[in-house]
Parts: sequence; structure tokens; C-alpha cells
Amino acid sequence: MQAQQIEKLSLLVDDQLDNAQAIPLLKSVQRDPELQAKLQRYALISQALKGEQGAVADLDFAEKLKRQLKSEPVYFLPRKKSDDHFKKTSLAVAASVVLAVVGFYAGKMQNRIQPFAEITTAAQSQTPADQMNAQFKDYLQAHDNVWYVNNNVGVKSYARLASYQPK
Amino acid sequence: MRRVQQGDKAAFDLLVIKYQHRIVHLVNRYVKDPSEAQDVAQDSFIKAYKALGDFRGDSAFYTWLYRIAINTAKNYLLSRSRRHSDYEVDMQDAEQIENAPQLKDIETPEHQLMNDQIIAVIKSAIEKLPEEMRIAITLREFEGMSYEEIAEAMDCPIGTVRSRIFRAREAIDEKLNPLLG
Repeated sequence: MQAQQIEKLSLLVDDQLDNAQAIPLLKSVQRDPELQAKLQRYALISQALKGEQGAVADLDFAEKLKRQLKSEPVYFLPRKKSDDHFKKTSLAVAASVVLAVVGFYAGKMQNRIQPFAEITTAAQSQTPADQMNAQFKDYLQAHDNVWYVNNNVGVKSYARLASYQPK
Repeated sequence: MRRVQQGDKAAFDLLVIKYQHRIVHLVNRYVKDPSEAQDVAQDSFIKAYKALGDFRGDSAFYTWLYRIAINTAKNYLLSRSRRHSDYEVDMQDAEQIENAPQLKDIETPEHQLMNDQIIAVIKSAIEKLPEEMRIAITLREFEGMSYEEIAEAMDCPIGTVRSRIFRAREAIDEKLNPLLG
């Protein structure tokens, strides 16, 4: 054990070391049982000086835990998403929402327009006026022997049924 | 810490070395049996390792680990008292347990005797320390002052404070080591 390392151990107990100093020291402690024992005694002294019951980890505590952790799967944090990624995702979501809204209203409008569309279709399928007039003329000629009596008591009106076959 | 969160087990091992004594000491406040305290402390570290993904770095790692250790200790006592090994309590329940001394463990006589001996040796060693070393270590451990505050109080450079505290520890350790060996 080097005196310098032991002095650093005292600083480690008091949280006076930055990472650059603490990590190499902790690695040395991990390898050196004497440093482990020293750290344990320092912890005990600290507790006793505070007037608390002394309770420190066993010397093989870290080693036992290391063995237990070996059987544990490695835990990874989800990768931190960059701001750029966030912006792209936000844009994609916004675009999807706009498309969904436009699609929804387009569907609604389509339903409203549909009855007019039927009328238009029906109008488009109507017989041309000249043809219609000729047919109507034929109908009237075929029915010129039919009486229509209104408000005449004792006289029964009758209707003659006729069928019309379009060409 | 970042390396640990990326799955570096070796980095986690270093955190264990750094905090193991504090965590065992903390757990021992609840679980007085020394061997059980060791097991519960081990369990606390394993839980911390499994929950590393939840550590957001908003607080210091030790503060986060501290909470896990306290909850693990309280859950252990509660599950033992209820004879349910897999019972978990939430923070509210855990706070209630803290105020229930009947759930706390009972210290073994051997452990108490050892503690008494350790404290006697340390007290005796402190009394024999040179005044400036005794004041420095007392301000640090009893009063919880920082090195900067001690330097100001003792009107000396921080380097001198470091040296005095280190030499005080070494002098006490010299008396303590034979007792533990």
C-alpha cells in the first residue's frame, strides 16, 4: 500500500475526490485486500466518531455481489433521442394528424354530396325532350276516349288502364 | 454513472466498493442482525442494478441508492413480521414502519459487545491525538463540516486540513487494527 493511496482513501471517505481520482483508486481497492480492509476500518472509525453503532460491509461483500450480478442480465438504458430526432417525429405526427382530419372531413363532405350526385345521375339518364314529347303525344292520342267528370252527381268516373312500353 | 447505465458491470462494481459500507450501516439501523444486514444490503444493490434504467440523474446516485436501501430494509422487516416473503410495501407504508419500533430488529449481544469495544478503543485513541488533529477529525465527523469550513474554522489551508484528518484516522486505525485482526 502506498501512503499516497491511503491518504486518498481518507479523502474518498469524505467525498473529496473527483471521478478522475476516485475511479483509479477504487480499481486499486478492488484489487488490493489490504486497501479494502483499510477502507473498512476508516468507515468503522467514521461511524464510531459519529457515536453510531459500527456496521460495515464484510470484506467479501463486493466480491459476493459481483458474483450475484454475473447471473443478472445486462441492463441498457434506451438510447437518448436527439433534438433533431424529436423534431422529425413531431413533424411526422403533426402531418399524420392533419391528414387524418382532412380525410375525416372529406368523408363527411362526400356523404353530403351523394344525394345531389344521384339526382344529377338521374337527370343525366332522362330521355331527351323531343323523344319525351313524341311519347306523350302518343299517350294522349291513345287516351282521347276517356272521360274525366268532376263534381257530377250520379255520373261515375272511370279510368281506362293503359300500359306504356318504352322502345 | 453513464457507463453503469449503459450496462458496464465493472463500473457498477466500483460504485459498490465506494458505497458498500454506508449502505450496510444504513440497513443496520433497521436490521440489527449483522449477517441479515449484509444480505439486505446485497439485495439493495441488486435492486438498484435492476432499476438503473429508472435513475434519471435528478438526484445524486447515493441519494437514489439510499432510498432503495431503506425501502428494501423496511420491506424485509415487514415481510418477515408478516411471514410473507414476497410482500412489497409502497413508500407510504414504509414511512409508517419507520415509526413502529416493534418491527425493528433486535441487536445481538455479541455485536453489541464488539461495538462497545470498538468505541472504547476509538475514544481512547482520540484522547491521545495531538490537539490540531483531534479538532480537525472532530469537526469533520461530529459536526459534519466540509474541508473548506474546517480550514476557515482552524485558520489553516485546506491541504493542512486534509493532512490532519488523514493522520488522525491513521493514528486511530493503528489502535483499531489489532482489535479487528
